[in-house]
Formats: sequence, structure tokens, C-alpha cells
Amino acid sequence: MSPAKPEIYTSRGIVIKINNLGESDRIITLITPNFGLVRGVAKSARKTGSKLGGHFDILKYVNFSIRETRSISQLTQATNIYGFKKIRNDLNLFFQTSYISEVAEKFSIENNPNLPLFNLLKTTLDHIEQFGYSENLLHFYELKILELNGFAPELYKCVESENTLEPGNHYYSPERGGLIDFKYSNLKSNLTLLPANLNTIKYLRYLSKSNFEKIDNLSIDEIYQKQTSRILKIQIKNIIDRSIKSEKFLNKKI
Amino acid sequence: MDIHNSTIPTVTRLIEAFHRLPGIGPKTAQRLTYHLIRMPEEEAKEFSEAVLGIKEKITFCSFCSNISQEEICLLCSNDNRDKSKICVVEEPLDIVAIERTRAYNGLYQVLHGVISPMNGIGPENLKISKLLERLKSQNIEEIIIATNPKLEGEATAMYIENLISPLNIKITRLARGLPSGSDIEYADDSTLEHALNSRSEIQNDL
Repeated sequence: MSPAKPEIYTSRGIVIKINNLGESDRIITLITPNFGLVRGVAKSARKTGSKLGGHFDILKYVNFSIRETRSISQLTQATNIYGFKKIRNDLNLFFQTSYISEVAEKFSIENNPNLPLFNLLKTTLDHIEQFGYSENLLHFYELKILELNGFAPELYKCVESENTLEPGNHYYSPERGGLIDFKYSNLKSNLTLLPANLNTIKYLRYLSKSNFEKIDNLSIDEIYQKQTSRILKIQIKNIIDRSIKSEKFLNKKI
Repeated sequence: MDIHNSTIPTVTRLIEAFHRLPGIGPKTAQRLTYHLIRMPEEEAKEFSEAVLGIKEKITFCSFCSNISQEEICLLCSNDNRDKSKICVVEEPLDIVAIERTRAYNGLYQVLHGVISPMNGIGPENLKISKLLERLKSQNIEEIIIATNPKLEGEATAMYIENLISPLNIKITRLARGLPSGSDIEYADDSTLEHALNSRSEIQNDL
């Protein structure tokens, strides 16, 4: 059988990861609107004279060409569209956006287009670049990425009884992907049950119906922020079944 | 293991050992192993002694964390070097590149990596505390940060700069711009921007 004919295509994408390969090559991981997660080798990208090296840096939004081969694809051309300069010049923003990128990477699949996920990542990075980072923005992003991938948390009905939840304090089960009526909490010892205060539930419901403009002026007590953060992060890890390495950098203040 | 396609355990073991090295795929690992099988015994012995020697004799310099055969490396123990300057680099190989230029005569500090959140590497995993110790115990006038001009290298440089700036020590960063022999047409935006911002007046003696 003759080898598959190489196919060249172009796309836009955000560089989220770089790994060195061999003597002077790099493996570049991008999230793209039309092809999902794309991994390709940028030949000699580590050399100072490389035409590709400068374009393929983490958090650069680029136009690129890639040649499909039987093994790993080869990146052939690149031009910079946007560099997220403010994020690049702020250590705290770099830590926070690393988590955002890593979560997007974990939910992305190679050659599986996910335009809503790309748009969410791009809009979130744009928003941080323009208005800065906030806990509300992060929680909104985490909730939306769950929704986009078909894992929207159930916030209105008890996932055990399927009855509409009465206003009050309940629990959240990451395994079941939603709220559990506090009356059922004693019966379900095999499930992880995270406390979900009434205000935490209201906050999650509000985020679910919100957009980027609405979340900026939102003010919520730290205790409910922390509860929400725990629920969403454990829910994400439960779905991807892996830890997120950059999570420990989220609260690192420099 | 199926990828190594050998039923002789000794051969499989060596193939697996080569395969663990960076940049060595299963085919290359096989080729290297079969090359060693054909190699004269004396040459093979020399090769294995060289590998063992690295682990037995090489250590990290207690000052700069560069690889060394002694507790203090040749650069740190050399009295002719300018001990008021420290150049901070990511890896020992970066020292080799800078030394090749013969343009720098100061000391070094090897970080052994860069801050990389997505790989779980934070400042505590680097030799930054060693650098701070040296700044407190030695009379250092200038720190030259020579991390790679990528986002992670820049973030590491920013972190070090934040730590050192209260100590009133001069901090400099390697200049960034167009490499010799390159075309402006292909330069990326940030390289061109840095080249423009750091442009210098043309000297008559050039």
C-alpha cells in the first residue's frame, strides 16, 4: 500500500503548550476552531534563525499551515494574529490563564472541531486581557465549559429523586453531576457530597444564565465563592479523570 | 515488550534503556542496541564506563548548580572571573553557549528549568533559593537574566526580578531582536517590536 498523500491545510489557533522534541524541534499544541486540538512539529523551532519559533509561543493566537503525515503532522508556516500582551506581562495572569488553557486542552479532542469551546477560550482570554481576571470569570468559564461539553450540572432538580429542589442548603454530587436534596444525603454514603449553600446554588444558577458582561460587577461572599470553586473544580476533575497541574498556581500571588 | 520485538531479555533491557532517553524512539533504540552488539568489546566497555562515570563522578556545583566533577565547579573556583556578576540560565547547556561567545567573564546560576504551570513546575522546583543565598552571602553587583525569550522564560525572569528588586542589585536581561542572517519579513511581531524598541545608534567603528 502506498503511503497516504500529505495534506496541507491552514487554520487559526491558540498555542497552549510547547514541548521540545529531539535536538531542535518543538511539538506545538493548539486549540483551533475547525480542527479541535491540533498537535504538530515545528521543525528547528528552537534555532535562533527559525521562521516558526517566534510565532509558536504559549498564548499566541496564530494563523498556521500544517502538513498531515502518517506520523505527527508538520507545521510549515505561521503568522501572529494576536499576542495577549497584558497577560504575557503579568505573572499572576499567566498563572490564571495557564489553568484556563489546561482545562480547555483536557476537554479538547484531536480532529474533533469544537467551535463553541474555542470561542469560549478565546473570549475568556480576550476578557482577561481587556478587563483583568476575577473569580466570577473563572467560575463562569468552568461552568460554561462543562455545559458546552454536555456535562451541565443539574442545579434545579435533585439528581436522586428528580424532584424540584426546595429553596435551602443542599449537597452537590460530582459523580451524579448535580445537586442532591439534603434529605437524601444520609442515604448516599458511596457518593462524594459537597456542601452547597442556598447562596452558592443561587450563584451557580445566575452564572449559568449569565454572559461575560453580567459577571463583572457581581459581588458574592468569599464563603460561597469557595464552595462554588470546590464544586466546579472537583466536577471537572471527575469528568476528565485527571488532575490539572496548573490548579495549584491559581491562588499563587506574586 | 512487543515494541522492542526481541525475545532475549538482555537485548530487550538495553532497547528499553535507550528508549527512555529523550528523542529516542523504539526504532532508534533497536538500531543503537544492535550497533552495540556488533561493537568490539573494548569499545563497548569504554562506552559503558563513560555512562557510569557520569553518574559516579558528576555532581552539581554547590554554588551555581552547574554540572561539575568537584564540589565547586571550574567556573566558580576560577579567580580570574568577575565575581560581581551572575548570569542566570535555564540549563547547563546554556552556559556552554554563552562561554562560546567569550563575551562574558562573570559567574552563573543554573535554574534547572523554568516556571511552567501546565507542567506543574513552580518556583520552588527551581534553584532560585540558591541564587538568593548567594546574593546575601556574596558581593554581587549585577544579575543578568538569560532565560529563553519564551512566555515561560519571561515569567521566570519576572519572578526573579520581583524577588531581587528589593535588594538594590542591578538587574539586566539579555537583549532581544533579530538574529543574524534572518529576514525581517519572517520575524514575529514581538521580536520585531523588541528589535525596534532596543534599536541602537550606528557606531562608526562597525
